Amino acid sequence: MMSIYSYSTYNNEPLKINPKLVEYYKDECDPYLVNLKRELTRSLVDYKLFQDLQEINNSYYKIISGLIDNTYTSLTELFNDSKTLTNNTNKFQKSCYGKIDGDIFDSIYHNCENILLTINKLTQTVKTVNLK
Amino acid sequence: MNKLVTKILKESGVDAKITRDNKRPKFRVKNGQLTLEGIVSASKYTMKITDTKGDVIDELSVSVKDGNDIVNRINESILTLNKLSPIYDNQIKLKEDEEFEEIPDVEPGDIKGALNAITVVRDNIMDLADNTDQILDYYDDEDVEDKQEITGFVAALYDLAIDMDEYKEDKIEELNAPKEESFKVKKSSKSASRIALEHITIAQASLKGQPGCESLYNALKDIKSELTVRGIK
Repeated sequence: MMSIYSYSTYNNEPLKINPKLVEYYKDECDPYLVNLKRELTRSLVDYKLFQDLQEINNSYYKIISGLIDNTYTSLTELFNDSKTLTNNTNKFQKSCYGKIDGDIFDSIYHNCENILLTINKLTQTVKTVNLK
Repeated sequence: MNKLVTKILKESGVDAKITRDNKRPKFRVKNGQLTLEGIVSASKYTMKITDTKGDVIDELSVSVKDGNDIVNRINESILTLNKLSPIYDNQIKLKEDEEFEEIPDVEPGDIKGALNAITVVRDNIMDLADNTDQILDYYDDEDVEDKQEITGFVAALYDLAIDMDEYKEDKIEELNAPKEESFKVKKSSKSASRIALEHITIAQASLKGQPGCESLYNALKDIKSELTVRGIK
């Protein structure tokens, strides 16, 4: 049986997903990203942290715009990008650890986790829709 | 929308440029080497902060529900810009400080070019000596032996820089001397400058990190730099 991760559409057709659904998940995720940026700005001590945050930004927008613009033709691509987002988020959290104190760190950590959870929900929805 | 954005930016006290587009006004705010560009519509706020090379430092594209959302997003972007700008400048400066000057290419037989290249190498060694000097900060005050070792490396690097400087000056003197005259170029004494620099470096190391001795430490550093650049005749 073919693994879902190697699933690709016939003739390289884009993955099916209602753009409004993607927007819905994006709207759910955006406040976390805004909070994350606000918290980081509050206690900004290191330029590298912002560079790491920008990596999260890039991988997040790549997934969202890829789904809205229908550029994904396989779940593998989508899951790879989702994995990149997870890796970048982990790297950012590690960078913040020890540099940002207490409550602000907790808030940053919490918002990062929520971004990952929401994107995970989105990718699972895309998987379900496209495996039917 | 244009009036709202103008009002928000005015209240933030920033010098901004805003387009007259009423539905999707764009604005631009500069701070140091960074530029914030934003686009505001009734339902969406998009912004990016870029450096002079055009690299994106921060970006956001989010839905907005009402005027309050727009006010908050713009104010947060300006706050981010203002906080990021000095940190970015500092980062660039640190990067420049880390980079050694490139040694220029010289054609074979071009002695003056070679001497210029030696000047660049000498400057790089001076920077290296300064960087090595900073390693002393990593040691505790009681690590006397280790500190002395590091101080020895620093002194050796300064010695080398002085040797190169003296060689260059002697060589320039030789090149500028009339060709028909034959005389032995007088070599300047290396020992005096070496000894002085070593003593200053050791004194500096003992002052480093001592409360109230910062100005003395910096004064010795300046003397050392002057001594190295001018040499002792």
